[in-house]
Amino acid sequence: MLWLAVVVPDLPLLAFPDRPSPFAVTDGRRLVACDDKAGACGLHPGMPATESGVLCPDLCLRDRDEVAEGRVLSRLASILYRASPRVGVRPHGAVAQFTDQVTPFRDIRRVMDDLRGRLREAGIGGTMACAPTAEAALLCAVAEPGCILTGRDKWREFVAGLPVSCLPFPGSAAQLDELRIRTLGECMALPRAGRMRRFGAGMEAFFGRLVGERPEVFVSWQPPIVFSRRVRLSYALDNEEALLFALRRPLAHLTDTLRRHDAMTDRLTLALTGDGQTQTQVFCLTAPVRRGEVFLPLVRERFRDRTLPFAVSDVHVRCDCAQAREGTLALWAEGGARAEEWGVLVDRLQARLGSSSVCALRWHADHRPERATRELPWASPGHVSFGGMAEANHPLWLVDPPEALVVAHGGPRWQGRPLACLEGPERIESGWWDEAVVREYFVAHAGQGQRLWIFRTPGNEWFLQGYFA
Amino acid sequence: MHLTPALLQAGVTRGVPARVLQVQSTGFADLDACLPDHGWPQGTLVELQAAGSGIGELQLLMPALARLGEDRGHLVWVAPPYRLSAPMLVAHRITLERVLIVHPKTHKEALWSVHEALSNASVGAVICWFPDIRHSEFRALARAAEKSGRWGFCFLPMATSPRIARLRLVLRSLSRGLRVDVEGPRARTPVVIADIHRQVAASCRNGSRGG
Repeated sequence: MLWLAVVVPDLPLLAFPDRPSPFAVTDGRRLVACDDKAGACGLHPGMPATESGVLCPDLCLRDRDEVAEGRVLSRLASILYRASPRVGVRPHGAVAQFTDQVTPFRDIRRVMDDLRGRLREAGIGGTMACAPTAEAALLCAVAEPGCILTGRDKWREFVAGLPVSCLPFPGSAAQLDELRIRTLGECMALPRAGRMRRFGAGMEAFFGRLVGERPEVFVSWQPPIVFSRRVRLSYALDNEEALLFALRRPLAHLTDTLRRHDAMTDRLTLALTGDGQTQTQVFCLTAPVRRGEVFLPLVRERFRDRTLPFAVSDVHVRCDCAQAREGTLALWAEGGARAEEWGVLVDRLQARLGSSSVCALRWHADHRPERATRELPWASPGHVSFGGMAEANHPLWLVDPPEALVVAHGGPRWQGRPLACLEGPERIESGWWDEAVVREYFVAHAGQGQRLWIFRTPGNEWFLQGYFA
Repeated sequence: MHLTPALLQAGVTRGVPARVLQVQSTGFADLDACLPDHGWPQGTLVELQAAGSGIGELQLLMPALARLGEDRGHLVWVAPPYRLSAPMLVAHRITLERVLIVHPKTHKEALWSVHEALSNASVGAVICWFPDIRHSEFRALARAAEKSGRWGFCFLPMATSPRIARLRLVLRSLSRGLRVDVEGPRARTPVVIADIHRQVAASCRNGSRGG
């Protein structure tokens, strides 16, 4: 077995493709990476972020973007996937597995030259090395870039000569250095029980994988599944029923594709072309599905009120699929069918009214009433409500923005009638960080028994904020 | 064997399943006593007419909505005239994660949204507002509610149009509280809920202390 490892030390920098210079990335407290120009100013990874601004005044400092780093790593994996079907993604790089005898290029050197060119083109760069185990290849890519060790070489001796500083356990490396252990070989020669007690089982397993005593277990990277079908029609479609009929076949193909890959999808993009124009429609689901036909009723809802903008002669269906995650289904799951029904309702409402018209209500920790309540599109994920205790003397209806009231004879009037303040004042003074408000709230009584929530500003202006509905 | 005529008439031999009508208490004892079914009946789109905003028209529904929103039921609000206050909904023991607010752009979209929500089994209750509605449209929505057994509350402007809903409540404000006129089968004398604002506020406080 032969493993090829690519390590990208400046991965945090690559996450920002259009970065100025000098540039550095921080994890909040310490620098994670910096470019050459920042390095010339004396910056180095691991130094406190507050110091970096002093050493290099025009430095552009950004927080680490792990999502973008993941995208770079999957680009790297897709490049390695051209040479080997077994690719594993690691925190700072990727490994690819080859057999000893046969590679598509016969010689591993040619594979490496080819990959080096492709990586340079993709702007990833990085260093690479080959070794009989994945961990050894990763170590060599850091310590001895470009080296090739095969099973015929004395690779164990070579790895034993590497310095402990290249271990992927920074704390343990410093500890070993204090013990005056300089190379991996000296570390491996230590009594096993003591080493395990001192440095933990994680490092023991690492040494096992390094010398090939333990198997390398990893999840093989798979290229993303993209479904794309273009239907060219011999006649132009002018109504939605004909469009639905034309979509039936590509969506059946989508179902087949999803089944074949055991994948799911929650988003369908439909590009309609005709008369030299193109219109794109996106359909989102609240939960991923395994069947393409689910989108048919959504397309029907979307085009129910509006006619097709032009005669459609070309339909392009595109769908990004993800590997299905759940392996088993709960047998007696309570309310599973109900949750599914709810998803269907939300999907239908979103398809016809647009996702901005279907809202969830969230409570934000703020004293200003108009900011405490937020209406967000149901589709936008990850907004957790503040779970506090509410004042019981606030109203259910909010007027947003507050409505200015006419002041006459020293008091506020609403619809021509004077307001009598029953309770108050309750003072709300907040928002100095963005929009400062100083308000005195009153519960006011209008004629006909209506109760209003009004406030006064320091300038003696009165506003209507809510109704005690 | 002779079957008694009463048994024949009761639909027993035809195998018609008996429909069990659930009733949700309004949370106000006076109002429960006044309503024909002693609470909000299941599968009915209740028509509500309020004389102005801010007389406690929503607080009348809150105890029932809190219970309908339990047990994974969702509350769908279609075309509310103002912004709902999230902290106050929580104070009324309504789970915000199960609140869905729909803003339709046209009357047709509003009708369709209410119909969809009323026909969905995962919905606990639908609360909707219409500036105007035709009899036939209201009847179609009421049929959808009846078919799926959802609770529906429809706010309409004060008008003298003949009653179209099975149950209509007219809400007016008095100096001593909220006056509710119930129009429907077996309707009784109007009920006055004394000082609804204070009653509901007190129940909120008790609830948050107990929970």
